[in-house]
Amino acid sequence: MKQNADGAPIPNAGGASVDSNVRGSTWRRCSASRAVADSSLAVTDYLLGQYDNLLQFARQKDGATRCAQIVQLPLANHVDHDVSDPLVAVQLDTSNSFCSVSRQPQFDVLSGKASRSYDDERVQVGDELPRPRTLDKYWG
Amino acid sequence: MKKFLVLADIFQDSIRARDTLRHLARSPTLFLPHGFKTIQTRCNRLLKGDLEWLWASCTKLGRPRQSRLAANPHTGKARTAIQLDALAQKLAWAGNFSKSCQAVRSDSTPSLSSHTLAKLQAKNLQGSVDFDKTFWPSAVNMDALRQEDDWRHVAQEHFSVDSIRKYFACSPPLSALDADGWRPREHVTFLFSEEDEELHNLIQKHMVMPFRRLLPRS
Repeated sequence: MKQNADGAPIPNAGGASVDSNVRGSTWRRCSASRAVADSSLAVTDYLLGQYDNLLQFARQKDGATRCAQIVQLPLANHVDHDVSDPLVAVQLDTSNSFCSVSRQPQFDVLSGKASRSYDDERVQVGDELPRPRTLDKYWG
Repeated sequence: MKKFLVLADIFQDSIRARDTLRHLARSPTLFLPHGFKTIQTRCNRLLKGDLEWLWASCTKLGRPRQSRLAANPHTGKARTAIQLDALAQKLAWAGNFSKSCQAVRSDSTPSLSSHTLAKLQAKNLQGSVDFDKTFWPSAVNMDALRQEDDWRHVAQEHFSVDSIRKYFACSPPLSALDADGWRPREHVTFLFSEEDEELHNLIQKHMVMPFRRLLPRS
């Protein structure tokens, strides 16, 4: 996860903080795309194997339609659901997740250790975080 | 570009000259938006080290555009039906049907007021890049991991010249310029069209791979 190829500094005429992670580059995008091609299958296997209530629709043909159809299935019987324990479908769309305010949690997931507390202190600093090992190779 | 990359190939990884040459090769805005003759003249000047002339030449071309923009600034006005038709046809003929369809169907107007930038900045807050690296793996650990068998095939399989060529060839035509000035389909794909294996390998080694370290440090 190199912030910038060759560790080159970003021109910073105004003296303000410039985040080199967000520097756009065609070559960087190519590299990122190839990295995703390498790791996506392994990450998919990991997520589907790790969590039995997870379905992935990304990176397949017409995934949005399939997702909508699956989400509609529990809705069809929604009147029968127990109000105290409702059936819930959570849709995660992480296509723009790299634009997050703080990237530290992403690095924590990649390194497999929490550098701060999460989940109302249930995860403490230094606790192991589950992660697919295939992403390890993309550390700089 | 090839000359820069050939020169960069001479130097070792830790040498500053290699990084500088790689960055020069990634600076298409000096050359690409102009005709072949201009590109050749500028390349020759650059190789001679005549950077002042090159800078003056580039900025000279930019001044009329700045004047035109000052006289007729961009506004948030929506395109007319004729403009939309022309844009949609241009995109469709280039092969970008998705963008062409969007140009025809979208009824949203471009947001371009004095508050736009502030709103975008408020929406996408700049987080700190002062990361806590306590639990990050060390370089030695990473080198050990990279020597494992299942990692060795990654460079050949997913970062090969063929896969890089396919990536650029499949990029959507007439997409927006990247921040570095490159347009993948229009500016890069043709670099892979000729059978210049040396250039292709140099592009792979010096333009794409520096963003990912897949092999142990030598």
